[in-house]
Amino acid sequence: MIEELFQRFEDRPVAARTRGLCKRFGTQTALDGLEMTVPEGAVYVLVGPNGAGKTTTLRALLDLTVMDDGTAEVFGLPCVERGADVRARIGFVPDSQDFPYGGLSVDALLAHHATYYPAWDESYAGELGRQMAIDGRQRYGGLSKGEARRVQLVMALAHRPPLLLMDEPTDGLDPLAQDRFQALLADHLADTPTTVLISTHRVHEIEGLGDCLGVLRDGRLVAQLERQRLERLVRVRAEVPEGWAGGALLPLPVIRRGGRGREIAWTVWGESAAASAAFADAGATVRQVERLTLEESTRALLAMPEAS
Amino acid sequence: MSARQTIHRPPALGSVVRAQLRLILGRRPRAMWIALAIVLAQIVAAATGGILFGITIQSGPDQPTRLFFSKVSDFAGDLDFAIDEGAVAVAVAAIGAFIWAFFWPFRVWRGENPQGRGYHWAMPVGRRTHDLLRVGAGLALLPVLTAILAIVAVATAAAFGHTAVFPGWGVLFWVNLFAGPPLIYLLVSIPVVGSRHPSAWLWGTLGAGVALVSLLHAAGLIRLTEPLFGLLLGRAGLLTTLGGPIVSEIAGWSGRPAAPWALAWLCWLALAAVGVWLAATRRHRSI
Repeated sequence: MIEELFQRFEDRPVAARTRGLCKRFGTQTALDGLEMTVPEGAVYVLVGPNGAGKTTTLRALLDLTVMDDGTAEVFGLPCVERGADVRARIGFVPDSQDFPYGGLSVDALLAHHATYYPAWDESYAGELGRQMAIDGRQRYGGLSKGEARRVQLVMALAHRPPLLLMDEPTDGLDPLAQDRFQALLADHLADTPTTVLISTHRVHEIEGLGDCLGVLRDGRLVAQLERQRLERLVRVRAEVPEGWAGGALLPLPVIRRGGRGREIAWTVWGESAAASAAFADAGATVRQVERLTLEESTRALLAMPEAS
Repeated sequence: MSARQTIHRPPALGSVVRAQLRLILGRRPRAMWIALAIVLAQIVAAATGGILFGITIQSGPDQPTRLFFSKVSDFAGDLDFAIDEGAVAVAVAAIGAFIWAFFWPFRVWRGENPQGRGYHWAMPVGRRTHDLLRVGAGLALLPVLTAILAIVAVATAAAFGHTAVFPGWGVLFWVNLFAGPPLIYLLVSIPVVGSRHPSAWLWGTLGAGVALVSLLHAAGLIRLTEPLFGLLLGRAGLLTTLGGPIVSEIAGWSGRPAAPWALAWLCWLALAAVGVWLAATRRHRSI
């Protein structure tokens, strides 16, 4: 593994941390020794394909799932032994639509939820409800997927939790509601110092939010780094001679090989200028060196060979 | 830890209990449960009236056919079972309360998916504590329902002039009326709290018991069924304990000592409570 792809954030206060977290469901391995560190104040985007272990990771932090091995902690509190204290500090947006109490009105559900959080801010909840255009008189069970999602967001945000866990938060939201969600979350973060851990496989929908990235593959983090470091992940488009073997001589770690024939598009880890020079030295004619978007970076890291 | 985080603490348990009670009672009780309550109350009223005073259908050329209760049958005919009619009235209420107590855990956990109570468990309360508080909230509401059914029964009897329903019974008779439902409720709560498939476990266990007894009878191995019957109908059996002083009163066994029944009831209750505690403790109940 490229060392620089895995930051341990040891110099920063930690909001959530897992150590050697393992979970198996029958023969399937959901988490395989997960070592994740979410720095305090970060918006940490945990990405990975379906089944990579994202939801299980969030559930481990909430102590909803019993782990086979390893530990998880939130603000230094062990999630199993101090589960109630940990959950009091968390606002949670679950991925599931299977939410209980469909018979209650939205107002009644929010009132019930508020009972559990002494820090619940009633006026803020009302403000959020207005911003999300929530009708409190509606029966919760009768809401559409997107409407229910908005109610869940209010439930997660209104007690201004120090840690916000969001599992596929934009799932079910139409494009307009997604924009509203992003604006609302940005406003919330401006008002309230919060650490956010977002799990998603739709990175493009939260492109502007994340400042830390964790890439989860087969139950393990293959990368964990600040977003600004992703600037070192560049794609080089170049033309190479027939039978080019210069790739093996490149002094830069190759994350992903792409392209066709003599037109190559390789993603490498390094400064743009250094990458350009390295390819030129190896006999390629460099056409373009470009930084990757968050989504492109994620794809590249997910496709990275194990040996890297 | 910053000062800001200290306001993010678990709620007081009293608030949680109140929230659970509100949730169980519901602001919009489902029509099914309202209907069940009405039907139960009607059964209690009708059965009480019928048992106490008999039912007579009177019709004649000058009057339409009418159905009303009148004191035609009082169980004092050729076969005198020495039944205390007032006791029967309350026994009917008890049966109603027992039936309700059997289904009550499902109402208490209404809306929570037994496959994984993600929302309930994600609340900032210890998971076992939270489960037990929910069960406790349901348990606290049971006597209210039992009292309503008893009042319906006694009032029905009184409305028909059977004022003798009030005096003459020992305290244990009333204790039994209120002691049986919690026992049933806690026993049924065990699979409801601890299993992903509570209905299957409940009906499966009952069905398996019936099937086992039938098979053993068919195979001529009746002696092997004795432990099972002992568990249910022995001196400290479950059904004997549930029936307790009410059955004794009806059957005229008023002289039976109360202590063994009370002890048996306490043992069953403790067993059921431990079962619920274990069901709430099971760490593999994760999602």
